[in-house]
Amino acid sequence: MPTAEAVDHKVVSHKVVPHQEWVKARTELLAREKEFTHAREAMAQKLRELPWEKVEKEYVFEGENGKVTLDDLFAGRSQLIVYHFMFGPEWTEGCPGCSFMADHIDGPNEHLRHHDVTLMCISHAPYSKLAAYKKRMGWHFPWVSSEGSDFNSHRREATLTTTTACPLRRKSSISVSFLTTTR
Amino acid sequence: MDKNKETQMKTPPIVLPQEWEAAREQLLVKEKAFTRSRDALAAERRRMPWMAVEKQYAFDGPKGKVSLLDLFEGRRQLIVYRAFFEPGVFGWPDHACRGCSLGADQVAHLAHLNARDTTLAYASPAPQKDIERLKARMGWKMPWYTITDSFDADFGVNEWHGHNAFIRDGDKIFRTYFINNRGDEAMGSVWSYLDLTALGRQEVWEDSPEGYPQTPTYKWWNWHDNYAAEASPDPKWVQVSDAGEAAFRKGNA
Repeated sequence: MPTAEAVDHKVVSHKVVPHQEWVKARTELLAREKEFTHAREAMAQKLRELPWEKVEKEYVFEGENGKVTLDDLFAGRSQLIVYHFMFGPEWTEGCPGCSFMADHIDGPNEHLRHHDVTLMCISHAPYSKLAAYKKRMGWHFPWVSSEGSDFNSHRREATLTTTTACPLRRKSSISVSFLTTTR
Repeated sequence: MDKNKETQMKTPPIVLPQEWEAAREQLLVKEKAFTRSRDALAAERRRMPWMAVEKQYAFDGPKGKVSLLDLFEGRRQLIVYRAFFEPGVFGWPDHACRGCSLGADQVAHLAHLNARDTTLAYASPAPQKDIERLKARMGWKMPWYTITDSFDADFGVNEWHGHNAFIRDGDKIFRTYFINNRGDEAMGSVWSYLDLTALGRQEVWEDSPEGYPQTPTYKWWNWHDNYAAEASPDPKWVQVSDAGEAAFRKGNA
């Protein structure tokens, strides 16, 4: 853990006000905060209205218990979110940026699992590498290898840094409902 | 999913891959605008005036009595989340409030936030022995203190949960921001905490007042088990992340 001394400690001068004035400034900004919260809801609404794309092809991945299909990845739930974690077949450890993102997954995942959503990661590296790295980092989320599968390129993510896709399963068919990249 | 619900659910149309891509591209424009509005809001937070904290506050910690200054753990910024864990709260004494517990589950690995000179702490009126038991049961790692005085009432969190952000200049402490209610929903990620603080993410692209500490975007990232071993960005990571960004921009052009 870095000490405070290791970080830039340039003096920042800033306007300091009494309590009442501070509360007033915060209340003014609160209106903008609420606007933002409502914009977030409107955004999620738009996302839910996006058309779906049927996934016609069969994809096969390598997981903890051997070969699995895209359908298996849902683990019996109706929705699946896949994070494309950059971990090349030749690499000895995962991308630091993706590892940073993955440090966010396990906590919320317990709640998602109980909300009919499976959240997991897919990488190019062979499964044995993913399993070893997962142990080092203390992660618990499901993680499969797409080595030898064209899932990544078909989902237009072969060369991108990080990507999340969200297919949705209805009865026997699977549809892609959303895709998000970079920020 | 409940079979009944599934048959009643009105779903969007199923389209061809090209059409799906076009619809997604259209929505992406809105996504980007939304991301920019989040950046703008964080920039406004950084321009909020500060309020000097004149009173002395005392907390109980795992090693005994500590002050608000001690909660910084030597870092420059502090975020205190007031969690509901005390007699009278639903779930006591086995559990903290369900909402606060869901929030606690979302707290990302603290090594990243700490690397930006910022400490996150939880605080509740419950005694340390109960807090210690709760943390062990739930697998939570954040520092969690016992409130012993009017801290909660003074900082607007005696009746409802909330995050207070502080900065210090030596021994002087300032309150810089306050988030509560539905604002707390978005908290948990490293970005959400940094966007709440006076100094922001401390990256060069940010619209911050002059003189604020800023370092190249994303380059400070490290594996959570490697920050101590490596104080400054690894040149290889800088190269890889620059190349990745360039490839992405080219692919998206």
